[in-house]
Amino acid sequence: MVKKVQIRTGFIFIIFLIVFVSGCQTNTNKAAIKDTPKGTDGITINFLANNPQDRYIISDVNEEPISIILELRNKGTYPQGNEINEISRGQAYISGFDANIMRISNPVERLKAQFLEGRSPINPEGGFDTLEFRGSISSSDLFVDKYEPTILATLCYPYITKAGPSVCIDPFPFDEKQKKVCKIGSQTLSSQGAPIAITKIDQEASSNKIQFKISLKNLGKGDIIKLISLDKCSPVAGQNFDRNDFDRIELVRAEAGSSALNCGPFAEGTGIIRLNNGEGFIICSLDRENYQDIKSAYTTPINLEFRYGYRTTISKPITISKISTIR
Amino acid sequence: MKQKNMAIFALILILAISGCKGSGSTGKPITNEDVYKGFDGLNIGFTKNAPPDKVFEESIFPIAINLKNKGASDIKDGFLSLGFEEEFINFNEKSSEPIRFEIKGKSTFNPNGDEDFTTANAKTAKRIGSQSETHPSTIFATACYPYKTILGTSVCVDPDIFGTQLRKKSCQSKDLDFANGQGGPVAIIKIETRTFPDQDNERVRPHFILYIENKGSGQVIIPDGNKIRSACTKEKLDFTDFNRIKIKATLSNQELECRLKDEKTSTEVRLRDKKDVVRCTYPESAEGIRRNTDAFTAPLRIEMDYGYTFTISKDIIIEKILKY
Repeated sequence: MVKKVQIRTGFIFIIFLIVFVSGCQTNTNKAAIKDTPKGTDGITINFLANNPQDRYIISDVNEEPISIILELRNKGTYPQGNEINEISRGQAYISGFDANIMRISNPVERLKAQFLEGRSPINPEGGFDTLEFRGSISSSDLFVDKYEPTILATLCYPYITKAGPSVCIDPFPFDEKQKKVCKIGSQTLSSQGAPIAITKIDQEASSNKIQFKISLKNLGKGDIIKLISLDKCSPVAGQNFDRNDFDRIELVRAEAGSSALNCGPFAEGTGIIRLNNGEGFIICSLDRENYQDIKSAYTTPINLEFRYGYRTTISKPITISKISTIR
Repeated sequence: MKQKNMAIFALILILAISGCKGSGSTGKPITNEDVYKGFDGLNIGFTKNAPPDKVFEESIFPIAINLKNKGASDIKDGFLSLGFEEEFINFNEKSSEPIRFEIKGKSTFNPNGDEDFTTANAKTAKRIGSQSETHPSTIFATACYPYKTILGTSVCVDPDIFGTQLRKKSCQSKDLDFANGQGGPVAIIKIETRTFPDQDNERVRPHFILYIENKGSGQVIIPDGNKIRSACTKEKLDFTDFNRIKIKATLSNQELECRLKDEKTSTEVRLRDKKDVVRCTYPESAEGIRRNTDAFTAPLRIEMDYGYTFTISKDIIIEKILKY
């Protein structure tokens, strides 16, 4: 009898085990989706809930402490572990209030590079950090019963867009008799995990070169700033942006396989691309001497890298009310 | 029996709990916001039957006046005077001095303002002619009081006057309308904000153009205690004593210059047709606001001091005592 029960229990256990194991499934597809660099966000900022509060009630005599906490998340893909991390060049500052009433000890804070790594297979959510601005509301300098400032938080940071799509290198583009693995044409790209995206690569071939028209677009919600002008972002820097500081992107690398591409036109200096209304393009060419020994078409990755400064702002209206006291 | 009691107790408990309601979310915060609204200052009115509609000649009758301060300013040294057709009516008592009063205005702790009554006895004379049985007359009550209108608001100070900063701004300079008044008969109905560059072009100075209007039915007089009292007596007032308001404006903690004349501490507004426009500017003596400062919201406080006077009246009929 006991043996029968043991057999039955063992049988049930085996059935459970089969059901359990069959329910398991490898997660490789999902992981692969996370691995691909996509998205149009760089570093995003938000006010931490209740910091600042929507409403402050202050008495006639005491100073009320105020804390503004910014929550920073790097939702893009820059920087990766092996890259030079320049995020610490970025800074955040708060403004929009009367400094006589809201006394913030340090309204400008630098970003901490070590906490803001980009999304990667080992850190799929990206880096996270907070910046805190502490201060107090002075009731003695508030001569009205209700004061309604809008706190503006501005974040300026350097960022990089990288893409490596495959392109077709065809040494005989007009030879239609030859069977080819690829054809020269256009391809559309979605996003690369950065606010500036390479949206399209158009290819055209002539007998002595292949040209690539690389289209760029600002898909984020902020403004593009020339990287060397990033420090002008801070109100304490004492400098203002001028129009030439905006919509400028720097080309860092353009290579087809191991061959460097010749790119242009550049707006000013070397490597600076100018965008209009958040859109622009650059034309790069690969000379025939780079592929003249090849007899048939082949695909190769085109490595593109652009760097720029980026500025985003958020705002929150608050109300400061003075409460009357019975004397 | 015990079970029945338990059931009743449980029912009461359920009802009591269901009746509970948190008041936190619906309660209005205790601030002065609602106090500084409206165009009312002092309201006065004759009470019912004091004076009565009809009085006999050679008789004493009461006059009672209800005073309500519906504005946001406290009244100290206010005066109330009564006016009669002296041939027919006069005070029963010898004194014809104006009645002094004090009455508190609206506040957080008294949102409706204080109320008071004042009474006097008047006496009709035996003056009705032999050919008449009645004589219509009018009783006047005039209030003269110092008052204050305070406007506290948040304004946008945008030093980037040429729009060259290319930054997102926390606020935009715009005209502000105040259709609901500030809890006084004289009100600021509109503020236009302008910012002009300083001489060195590195700093800016905000200017505020204030549209002031007497929205009450009375007259504005100079905020001088003696003149206010005079308005309620037979003493002479000059035409220059009317329509004068003292104004003081502060932006953040900087007092603004609103003066039109050479006065140093306060300025005067002269109403014409119950209206005036005054410009208050960031003073030359103070450093202007740096042009590369981000736009910010600053508190603007405007105080207007003035005297106010108005009159109400009631028609009565003095009847002859007929003897047959």
